[in-house]
Amino acid sequence: MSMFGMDRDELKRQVETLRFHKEIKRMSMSDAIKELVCYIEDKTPDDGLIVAPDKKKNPWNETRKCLIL
Amino acid sequence: MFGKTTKMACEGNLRVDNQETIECLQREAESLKKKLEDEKAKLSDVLMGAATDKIPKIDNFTMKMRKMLKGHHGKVLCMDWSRDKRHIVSSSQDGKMLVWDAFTTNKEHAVTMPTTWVMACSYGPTGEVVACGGLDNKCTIYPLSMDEDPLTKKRAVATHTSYLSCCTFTSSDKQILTGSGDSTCALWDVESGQLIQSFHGHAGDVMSIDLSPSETGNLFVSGGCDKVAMVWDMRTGDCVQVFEGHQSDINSVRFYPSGDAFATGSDDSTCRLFDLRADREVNCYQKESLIFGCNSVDFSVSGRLLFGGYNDYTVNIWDVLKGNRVSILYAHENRVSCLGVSPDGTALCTGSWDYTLKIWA
Repeated sequence: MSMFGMDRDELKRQVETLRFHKEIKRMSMSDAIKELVCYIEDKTPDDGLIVAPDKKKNPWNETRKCLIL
Repeated sequence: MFGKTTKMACEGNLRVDNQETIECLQREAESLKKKLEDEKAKLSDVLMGAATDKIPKIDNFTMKMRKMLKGHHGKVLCMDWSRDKRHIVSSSQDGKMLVWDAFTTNKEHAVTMPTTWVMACSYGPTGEVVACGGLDNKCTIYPLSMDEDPLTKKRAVATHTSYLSCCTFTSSDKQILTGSGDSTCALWDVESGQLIQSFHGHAGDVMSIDLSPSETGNLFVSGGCDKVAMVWDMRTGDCVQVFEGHQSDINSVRFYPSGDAFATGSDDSTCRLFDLRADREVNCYQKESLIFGCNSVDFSVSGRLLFGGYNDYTVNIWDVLKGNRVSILYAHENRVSCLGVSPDGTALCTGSWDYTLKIWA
């Protein structure tokens, strides 16, 4: 057992994984965030928990009249 | 040193070789880790909060309870929506699995498992089967039909060497992916019960898995008690990305709707967002006043809202982009153990240790 509690095979596997991860092509934070924002802005109009859907279309709306009104 | 007997020299060399190899490997691992960190730091050119500064906050957010599902006689541990956006399967500590019509709140099926703590349940994509398991270390499939008791047609598909913590069908009813306390994930053929692929790499119990929504991806993410989230290639069994950052167990992982990122919920009382393409954490959702663990996370359909179910009986709703808390639901009378947004995005279902499930919209 090594000092990190890993045996040689585990260490070998870790190094192989790390080598593989070293080769990953990474996007910068700013570009990745831009794409997340784009996706959200595109989909928000259809997000029923942000933009309340038409009452007739909302399956969870109570059929009885709203008490507050 | 060569004057000694051959046998001793051999043993000596072997020992030295062994040590050198381990030392070499350790050195290489450390150096690779350092290089990875440096590279990630170089690409970290902006913080998410700053990048989304000009985007308006979410105002006038409201959500209220629409339905309450009563019928479990123990802590609710897991729930899953059917793709028909109407039915829900839930499992509980008392060994019961229930299938609900969430519109009417009627129970359509009840299955008693031969075990307590049924920690995992999942609806098949066709809506014709459900799967569940827990302390029995197994994942059992129950075909649902109105004519017959699901128990008569049950089939044990997967067996782990420790408890089953999570399961999810892949794109069809034919394969199921499982996660276990034995620190592995596994992909199984439902029909034959054969193991198709196993996934080794976690150094602790796997608590949660989620399939990538992108159809070409063949990826899934897993999180567990080793505080690490891993992204896997289902076909090869390789771990393709590792994400660190949490200070304690990861209880829940969920893909962002585009498949480019995923969220985690942890016992360290934070939720985090990890981006696959940036290969790093991009946001952390926390508050100083929030000191309880998060058991379950899910996104609204656009990905803008992140729901977290916590041990302090609440659901915190985070703005994924801006990082602030949009709202808090005082949802239950005990821990919120599981939650999920309906497939059409119109409702949130929460399950709790208070024995109930609730639908919010």
